[in-house]
Amino acid sequence: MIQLKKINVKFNTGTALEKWALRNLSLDIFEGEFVTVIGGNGAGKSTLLATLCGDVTPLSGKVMIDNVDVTTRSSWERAKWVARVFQDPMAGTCAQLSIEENLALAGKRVSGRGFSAAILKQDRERFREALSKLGLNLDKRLKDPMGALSGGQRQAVSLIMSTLQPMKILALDEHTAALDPKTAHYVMDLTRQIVEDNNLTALMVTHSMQQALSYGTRTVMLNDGRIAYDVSGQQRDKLTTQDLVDLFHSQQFSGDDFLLT
Amino acid sequence: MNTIQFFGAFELGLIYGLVALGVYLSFRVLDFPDLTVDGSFPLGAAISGILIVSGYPPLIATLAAVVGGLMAGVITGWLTLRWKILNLLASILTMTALYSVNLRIMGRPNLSLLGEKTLFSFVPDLCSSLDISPTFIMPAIICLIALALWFILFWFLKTSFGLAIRATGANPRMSMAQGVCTKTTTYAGIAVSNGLVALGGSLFAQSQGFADVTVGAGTIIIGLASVIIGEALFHTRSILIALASCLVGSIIFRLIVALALNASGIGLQASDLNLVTSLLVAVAMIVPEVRKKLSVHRAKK
Repeated sequence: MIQLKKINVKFNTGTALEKWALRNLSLDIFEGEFVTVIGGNGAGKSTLLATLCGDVTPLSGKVMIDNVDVTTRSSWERAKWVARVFQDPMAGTCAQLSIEENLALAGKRVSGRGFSAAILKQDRERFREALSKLGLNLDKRLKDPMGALSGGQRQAVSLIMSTLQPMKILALDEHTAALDPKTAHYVMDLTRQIVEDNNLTALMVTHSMQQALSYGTRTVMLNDGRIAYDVSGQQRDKLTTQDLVDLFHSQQFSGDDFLLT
Repeated sequence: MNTIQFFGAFELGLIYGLVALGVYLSFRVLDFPDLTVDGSFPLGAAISGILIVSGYPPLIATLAAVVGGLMAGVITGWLTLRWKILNLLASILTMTALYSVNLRIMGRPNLSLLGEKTLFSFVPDLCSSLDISPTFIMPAIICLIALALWFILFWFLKTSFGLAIRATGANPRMSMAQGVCTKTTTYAGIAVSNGLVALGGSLFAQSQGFADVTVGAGTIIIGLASVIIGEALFHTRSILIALASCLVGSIIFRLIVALALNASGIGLQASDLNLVTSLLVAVAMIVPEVRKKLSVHRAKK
């Protein structure tokens, strides 16, 4: 189980731009849950993900992964538990390295690295098999540079990369935001398939209300650094995108103190 | 240029090829502009020089030089990774400090190694027994050393750890997300880079028969020039060929220098070397920019 306990994050402390990004936020994510996070600009959804991944250390509060306190662990240490796919396709992969080298890098996310050859024959077999699931013919292009792939292909490979090693949670940071609608749809369906096939726990930040409801098992709406709405199960199934939009707007005008849950 | 000059340039090119490999590792692989090499090259010469003069076996002296280079790299890494000093400035600090350190190590500005037992002391005997001129033997021996290091470095960069070093330079954020401690990989990369350069300095001192504190001036530019020449010759993504191109670039650089200095009529002298080298690097860096401008210009039309 992933637990965020009373997280407070403040940016630009002591300047005119001082801003509370997260206010006393608590969130428990149970094993097998696929949580979609939604909210306006500056609502704190990216900060929430960054706090989970270790890019941001909270002012106070705790981040627990399976009862291990990881609050002060850096992002590379948390990679043991957290697999990530970034918003920018360029950010999540190494353009200069080949596809197989990118996969090899991700293939050691948990196990660590030594002085044996980075890519062995059996690794290539494994990579080919994993890539063939994409149906993009990338399994025949292992030696091509990552930079030669399109944004959508790179996000698809990023998803495959995340599954090469075990994880406690998959962190998806608006990973379709930089893609065209058709490609975004493909990557989202791939995401769902990968999460279901591997029984993953996932946290996905998105700015698409439709994505937030159509994918995952639970939706959390953030407003001004707090959880404004948290819905799952049957109640969530009944929810339409329009309901979510109405909720969203009601919060935008209701100020800081108004909470829906 | 006569044969002796040619093979002299070839030999020097291979020795500085180790510097080029080191510079490639810091500048290209790690994307870390490391000027420490101007200090670690003479550091290698100084350490092995003083140890050889004091009667230590040349192999020990050479290994000590490598360890010295590794440590110099670690210090630069520590300044920038631990204390957040800009990497360029951190390396200049180490480089400047090393000038004094090198003088302390040697106890005087230069040391003569003529007549001392060095790694290459066996060469005259070998030559007389084989009846070959040392003009060819020395470059051949240095060539073997350079090829060995070329292969070791290739193997190193192809290991899981080496791959993590390459990823650190290319995309540190992604590397961390994949569980790479980028501090460790940067330390390792900069240390190995300076170890190679110090080894170059040690071989330089032993093959040329002297160690001098001023021998490091401009090392970084020479290394960078070699890397750039190599890149211009081989457009490649293969690590094996990219590393080889550093060695080839360094040899070509030395041949160009030898040609320029020997050509009567141009009026260049040995002291013009740094000016010519800087111009070469500057031009090599300007050309791609000019090309970019031109293509934008053409696209507008």
